[in-house]
Amino acid sequence: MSVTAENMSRIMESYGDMLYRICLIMLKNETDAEDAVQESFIAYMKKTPQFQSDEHEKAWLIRVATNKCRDIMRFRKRNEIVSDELLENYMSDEESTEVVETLMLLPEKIRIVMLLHYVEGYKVEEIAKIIGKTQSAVKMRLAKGRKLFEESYRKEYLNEN
Amino acid sequence: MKTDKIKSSVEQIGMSEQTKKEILDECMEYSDNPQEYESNRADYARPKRFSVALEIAACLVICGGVTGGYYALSYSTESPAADVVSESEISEASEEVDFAEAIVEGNESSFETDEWKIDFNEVFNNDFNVGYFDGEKAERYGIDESTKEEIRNVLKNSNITQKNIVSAGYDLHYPDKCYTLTFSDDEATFNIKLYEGYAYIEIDCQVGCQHNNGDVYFSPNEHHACVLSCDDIYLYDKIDKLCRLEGTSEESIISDNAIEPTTAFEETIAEPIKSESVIEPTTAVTENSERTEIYDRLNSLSYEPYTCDGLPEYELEAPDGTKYQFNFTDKWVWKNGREEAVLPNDLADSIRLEYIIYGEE
Repeated sequence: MSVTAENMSRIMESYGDMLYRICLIMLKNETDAEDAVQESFIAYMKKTPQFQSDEHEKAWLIRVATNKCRDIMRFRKRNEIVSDELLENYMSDEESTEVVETLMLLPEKIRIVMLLHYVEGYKVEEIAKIIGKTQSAVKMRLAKGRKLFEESYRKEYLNEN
Repeated sequence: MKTDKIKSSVEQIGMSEQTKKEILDECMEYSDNPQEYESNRADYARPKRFSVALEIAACLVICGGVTGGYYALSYSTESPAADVVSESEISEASEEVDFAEAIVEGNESSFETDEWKIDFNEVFNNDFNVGYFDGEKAERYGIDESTKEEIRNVLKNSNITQKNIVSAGYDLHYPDKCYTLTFSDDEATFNIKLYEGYAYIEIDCQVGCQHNNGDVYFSPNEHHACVLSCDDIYLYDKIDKLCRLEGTSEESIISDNAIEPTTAFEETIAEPIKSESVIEPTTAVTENSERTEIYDRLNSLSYEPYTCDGLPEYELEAPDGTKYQFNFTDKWVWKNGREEAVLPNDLADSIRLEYIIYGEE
């Protein structure tokens, strides 16, 4: 069964920006992020999965997109772009830029957990299912992420040691 | 606390309408046959040709029992995402088996042709990994570009042939899907910078080969991979554990004696070094003072109320009765089960070295 243009437009409208920001923060390169989104959509078309709910569909797409990001990181041909240059087209104020830059400094496995929790509002058990880790691993990463985020932000922008 | 600002900041990021349209248009080009997309887009595809070659080579080695098999350096083509996404979602490049056939034939000269060199280079355009099996999931460590370059240069200047390549191993978790390749060369060891998983944390380790007679060096014969040195004691231990898997008891004893996580092997090893020379005896006095220092440092860490429920991997009881629990993976220490602190790397290393690697007296 092929996917209709209407269905793909709906997916793009519902999840396009969400997937793009996850991919951009993971990959730090706009072209790579667009590729990851596109490949996630292609995966959707290939599978034409049946979902129990919109949330299920969203979680599936996040899972596929984060895996695409990892594939791209693994075999990447493009360089990461320095974060302030990358973010200048998106951020409305300096503080937002600083916050996202700090987030982008975190290790990848912590970054994705922070994104899913603080941006997409997923609970620990939901994140555990999406990224295929245990709940305690997710809790651990969140705790470490909060700590690292705060330390980095203070050090970088508040000039505290 | 700026975490409350993360959502509003990140949500400012989005695609332009033009970009969305372009992506949709490209997707819809493949709406009738999305599988075509893979073949038209191989940017991140894995070099299947080499993976097939390695699979066959690995089988040959395993079946033939060529080396007795300690497997530490490995080239894996498995996607890092394999633990998250289903196998079918991992793209597969088209298969080309000519190089594989060259290996099957066992014709050494075929490795010295231009074709071999091309394939050889292909390996190093991708990650060259160290794997570790931990009960359920294999962890992977990729080698950095500069090390790959270093290895390339050594190989280029040493007329390397099939004999120098120890195609050793398979993924312990997915034996049917993973392929490994171990190199050996009498003339060099490689100081390998490992990237932990996909967080890309650099860790300096040196992986070498160990002779059955106890000498530690890269040798084309009777070699066994082992960790020569590693700054991260925990990682050292993990890779060391991998090296010991499937070894005979005799070989394990040799490893016990020869592996020493110090800087003893940080310089390039041209001559075999006897294992005895790397054993640094530790005296009771040294141990006592080191352990006192460990407890002092543990006591002086900045503890906060317990907030998360990671699993302790090791426990210690200080002379004053304080109980410490450690998670070396994520570097946490818990004090009396009520407080937690970040475990500094050097302290974690000291604990592992003092209590785990050398063991309690």
